[in-house]
Amino acid sequence: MNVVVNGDDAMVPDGASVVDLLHQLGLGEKWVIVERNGDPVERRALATTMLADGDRIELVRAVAGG
Amino acid sequence: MATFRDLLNETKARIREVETAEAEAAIAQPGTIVLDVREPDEYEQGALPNAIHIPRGQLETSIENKVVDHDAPIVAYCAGGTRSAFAADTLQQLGYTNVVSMIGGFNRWKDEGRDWRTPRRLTAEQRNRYQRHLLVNEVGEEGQLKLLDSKVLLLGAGGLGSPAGLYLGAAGVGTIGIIDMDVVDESNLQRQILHNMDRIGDRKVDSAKKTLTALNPDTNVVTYDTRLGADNILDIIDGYDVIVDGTDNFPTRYLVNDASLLKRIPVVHGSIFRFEGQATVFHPYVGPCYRCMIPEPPPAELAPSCAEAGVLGVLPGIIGSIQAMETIKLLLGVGDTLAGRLLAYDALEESFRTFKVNRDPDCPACGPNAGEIVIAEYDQFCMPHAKH
Repeated sequence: MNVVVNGDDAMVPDGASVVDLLHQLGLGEKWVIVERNGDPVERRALATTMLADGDRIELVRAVAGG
Repeated sequence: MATFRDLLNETKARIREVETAEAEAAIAQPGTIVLDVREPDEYEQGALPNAIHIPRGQLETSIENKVVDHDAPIVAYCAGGTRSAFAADTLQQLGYTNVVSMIGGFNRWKDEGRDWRTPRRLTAEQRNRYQRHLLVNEVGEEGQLKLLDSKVLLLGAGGLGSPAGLYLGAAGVGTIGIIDMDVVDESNLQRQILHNMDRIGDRKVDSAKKTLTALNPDTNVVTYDTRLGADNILDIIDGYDVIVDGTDNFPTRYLVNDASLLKRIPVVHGSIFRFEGQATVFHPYVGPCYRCMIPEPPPAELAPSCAEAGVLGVLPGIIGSIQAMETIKLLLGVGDTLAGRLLAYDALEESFRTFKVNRDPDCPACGPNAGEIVIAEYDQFCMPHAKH
């Protein structure tokens, strides 16, 4: 199925969770902040939140430079 | 047609009046707000200690900015007890539930030998310098005096610390502490606008102090030419009202988080990488902390520093300026800060996105089941230290 990640299309397998998507993108669930269809996904719910076709995912990863 | 007397009597029937002695006892209770509704020239000649001054003519437009809690106990006074009776009535109409008017007003209070003082004022030079702030209701003279009394600690006099320091200094923050252990290098000048060619080789804290002192003589700059570490962080941050985090690596950011939780000092966070910037506010035990937002840092190989990966020089200017703005809002207590929200800036898209960040019930630092915070150096994994 297709989801939209930060405005770009991405293909994910059916039944994929938000964590699966993060791993597919090479991101770790401990250092990324995720919104799904405009709502924050709590960290403890990242693995149990299943993606649906057409979901809009916004994510941002931590940076530390100053 | 009602006369003034009729109107006053009707008004007084709707409000509660208290004698000066009862007012004094109420004021002694923490949380009681003392409200002076006289004209500025009356207020300037003497007022109750810690009074909030809103002339009666501005009461309706200003009170909600200055007294947010509608159930807070308020003691209103004027010179003799008439204007404050009308003011108390107005406040009740605005939904303030616990307002009294002081009988006899400031004149009786003073005659009875109770405590009063001449309110501190800006000097003529300061009135001129901060003119544009004084015109803004949310700052005004009271807010400007608050800024002059404030103490802000800048962690780093680099990319983020430069714009943040310049704007905070220009705004009249009275004490700016700066910690940095580096010396000015020519490669810093692409973005670190506190420094210049003449300062190459100087300690960054000394260069920053020179720049800020030249900009605003009101600002007292306190410098710490040392590495921020577990051994000194609690002593250094002690007594500051706000910490501006412009550090450049994950372990230090976790250290700052844990120490600020212990000392309950809000942190205005900024971080940058190439074309991306982020800013937020960590308000200890009120909003999320850094560990709620980022429980673990990315692996080191995925998180190169700006020294390794580069950064566009304007980027820290934008994020550091947002940090200065959030700091001033925190100091003044106005507006909605970024507490609970992460502002993410992408310079290539020229877009700002806001992510909601909640407190994490599982947070090992500030969650309900968190252990005692231990301040110690962090390695690249930044895991909280267990209490031994």
